[in-house]
Amino acid sequence: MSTSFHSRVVGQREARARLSDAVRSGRVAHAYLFSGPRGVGKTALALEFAALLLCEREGAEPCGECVNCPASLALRHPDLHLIYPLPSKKAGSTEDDEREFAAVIATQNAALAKDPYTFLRPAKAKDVRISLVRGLIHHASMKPYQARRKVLIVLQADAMNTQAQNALLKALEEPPSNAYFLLTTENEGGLLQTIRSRCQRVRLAPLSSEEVADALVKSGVAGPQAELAAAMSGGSLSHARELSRDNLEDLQRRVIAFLRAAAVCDPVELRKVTATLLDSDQMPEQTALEFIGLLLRDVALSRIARNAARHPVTFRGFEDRIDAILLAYPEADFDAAARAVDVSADYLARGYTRDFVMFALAIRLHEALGPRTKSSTKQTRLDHA
Amino acid sequence: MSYQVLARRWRPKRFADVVGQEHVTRTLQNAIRQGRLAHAFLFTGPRGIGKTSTARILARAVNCPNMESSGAAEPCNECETCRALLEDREMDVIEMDAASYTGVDDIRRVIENCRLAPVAGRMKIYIIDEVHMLSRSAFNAFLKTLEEPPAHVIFILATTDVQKVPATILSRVQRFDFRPVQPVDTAPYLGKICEHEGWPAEEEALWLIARRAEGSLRDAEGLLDQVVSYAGGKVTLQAARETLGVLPGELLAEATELLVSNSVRSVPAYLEQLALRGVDYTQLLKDLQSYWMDLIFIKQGLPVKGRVDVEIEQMQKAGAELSVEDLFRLIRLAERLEDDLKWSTAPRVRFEVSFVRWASLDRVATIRDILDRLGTSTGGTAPPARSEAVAPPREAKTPAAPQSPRAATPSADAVTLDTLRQKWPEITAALRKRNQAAAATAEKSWVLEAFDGRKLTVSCTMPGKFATDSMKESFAHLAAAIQDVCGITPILVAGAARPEAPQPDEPAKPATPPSGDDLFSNFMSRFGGVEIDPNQAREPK
Repeated sequence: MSTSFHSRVVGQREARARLSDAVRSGRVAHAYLFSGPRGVGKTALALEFAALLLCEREGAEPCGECVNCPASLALRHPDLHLIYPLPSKKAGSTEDDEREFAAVIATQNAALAKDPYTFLRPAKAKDVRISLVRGLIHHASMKPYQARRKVLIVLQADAMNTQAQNALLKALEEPPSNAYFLLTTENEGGLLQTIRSRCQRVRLAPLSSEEVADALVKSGVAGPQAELAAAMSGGSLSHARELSRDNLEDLQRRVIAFLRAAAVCDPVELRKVTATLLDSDQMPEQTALEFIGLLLRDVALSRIARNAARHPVTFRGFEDRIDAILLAYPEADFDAAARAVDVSADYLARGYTRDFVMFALAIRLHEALGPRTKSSTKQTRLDHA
Repeated sequence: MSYQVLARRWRPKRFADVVGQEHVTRTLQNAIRQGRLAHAFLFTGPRGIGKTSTARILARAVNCPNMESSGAAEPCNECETCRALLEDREMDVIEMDAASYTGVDDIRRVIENCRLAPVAGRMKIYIIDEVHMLSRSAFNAFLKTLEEPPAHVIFILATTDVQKVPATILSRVQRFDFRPVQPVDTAPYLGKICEHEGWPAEEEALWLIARRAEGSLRDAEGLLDQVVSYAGGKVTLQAARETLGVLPGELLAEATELLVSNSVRSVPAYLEQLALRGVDYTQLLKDLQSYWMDLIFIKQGLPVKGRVDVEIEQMQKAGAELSVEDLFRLIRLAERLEDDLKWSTAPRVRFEVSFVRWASLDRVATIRDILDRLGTSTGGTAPPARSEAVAPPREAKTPAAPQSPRAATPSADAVTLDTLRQKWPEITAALRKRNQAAAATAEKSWVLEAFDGRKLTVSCTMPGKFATDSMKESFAHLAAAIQDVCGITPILVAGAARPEAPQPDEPAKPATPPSGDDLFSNFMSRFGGVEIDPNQAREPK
């Protein structure tokens, strides 16, 4: 029906239908909380919904043609206010700092308007400044300039600190008429219960691998690479995009070599393999860990689902390797292995040396995978949590 | 006028409309009737249960001129004062957002202004919402005024987080604790809303919403809003399930069934279903824990709050094969995983792999049953074993002599009392690694009394309650040690203390008086001390 508008939201048909229904039937709540894992389209959907709320025609989607749509889609509408985590203000901030700050916001907004799936927190951005939250509340109290409504968006709302969240409470409960708050978060637990309780919640499910792969191919990623990235992404488009920057097939090979060395736990071989694994201009170790985790999951699931109708693997075409691992390590404790991988990822995030982390992981994996002599010990071990 | 969500449209306007807080409203109404209203109140309790609403009702009731004539201690909501208040244009009731105005200056302004007489009504009422966010100095500046405000002023503080309010404030106010609204109250209330709004509603759907709201009426209303707009003006169970992203009882029941039965093959399908729904794994783990906890309650014949009968039946079916112990173990496992997920970068992988492991745990239960059976069969030969129990296992003091002539080599799987006794030196060695003091007393004075395949009775040869108690305190370590050596985790039970004459192979000990010994071993186990021979210790000098 609309001619100039192309939705950038991938999938999420149900949530979109629900929101446009609300607009059509005139039952728009004054506060929405978009939650769901990273990269499933919370920001994309929130921005599109904002445009829809500001659009003159109030159709099923923003028309893209009225006075409001182009401006709101470009995030330059006077009735659209958008805040997100930004670097904290220095104590004696000069005019230059402020100008720089404004520049950061401008680039950030432009990037968001262009592609809502690649929102990156600006460097050193820890939380949503309380001054911005207060500003947002102030904006909410003003009459709309141009559209019929005002839309106030907080991206990554869980990054508001306690003061900021509390300051928002009253406005969120009984905002001035025609003011609408949209919050997004990956981590509902990071929001006060009092905040969550004041919002209508829109939960977004992970995208299907097909939807992700499709979107990737459309943006120019090669087919096999796109499929691998989609399979690994767990339904997150943003994540799939990051993944597709590494050469996944190559990484896959190196990871397998690493696992093989880890299983034997030969230090010399391990050092060599770790070096090759980490030898890349990108930072592939988190991806590598993810890969190991997913592979372990595949193997663990395959062990119990050997004869099940469907083989629920992340990596298709890997069934042989999985069977080989299963045969080699009949006693493997995949739970411990998965935990080891997870811990390693945490260490990396905290800035431990990569070589050290990977080495430690190799030893842990060796322990978890290595065949055990006593079969009875393992099973009852679970008992003693 | 733009659309208002249910929670705002249905904000209670009279005390009688406040749901589930009779203990507060009745007290307040009586106080009003008797003219014994305090000058400062604190309303606390979780989110969305009526704190702010009650504060506003109280504010109206105090100033409403028709109140006395009505005799019901309710605001009339029709007079000029009440209407002004409802429309938020009343000068004598000041609602302050303490989370936005946190500073000492903001409070000073309140203090100054409250000295002025009310404009129209009898009283001037300050509602200070989210009061926990006031700064420390703001709280302190407030103290004097809060204690002795002008006669025409009432302060009503409201907060969800009473911990953050200083004790000096708490002692100056009349505190009312609002309770979470029980589903029993919520569901009929939602029914009332639906009736008024003209939405046909299914009872079960309302219950589902009520439960999901977790004690908050505002949450319940928000969810109802969502369901109604999804289903187009009616409330059906189907719609409620689909919109709320609820983990319906079935999902939890299915998880429980998968963990009990041998149908591990259906686990992958189940996990896939979860992934497709975009389940929040932390939330799922929380739900599972409370589900299992309730199941334990049901199994013990205790009442379970907030679950409908249908669901309880379903729970009973799902958990029929689980023992209370199994449930505790599952809860513990879920709890630990939930902890891990807080910092995990791959929650889905962690959950799935762990769930697979739990699902294969059921075999442990079956092995246990086998052990049970083995235990009862050895129970037949228990009497001779018991007679041997007098001979303390500490005879074999060095691990170098693990083979005791009287015991036949046990089969690898079945652990019997004899095996345990035979391995006692190894066990104490393993115990030493965990807790030296416990190992020292164990070697000296613990006797393995009886073992039925599951329950291991251990008694202490040292007299006195101290010794037995300290032994009990070390049971966790002992169980772990036995686990290390024999691969089983028996349930440890303390047998009756069996004061014994000191064994001939320990002639050096009697030097210490028995009571001192008690104290000594107790000290050792409590503080993890190591026994040192005083003679040896002195040698270096």
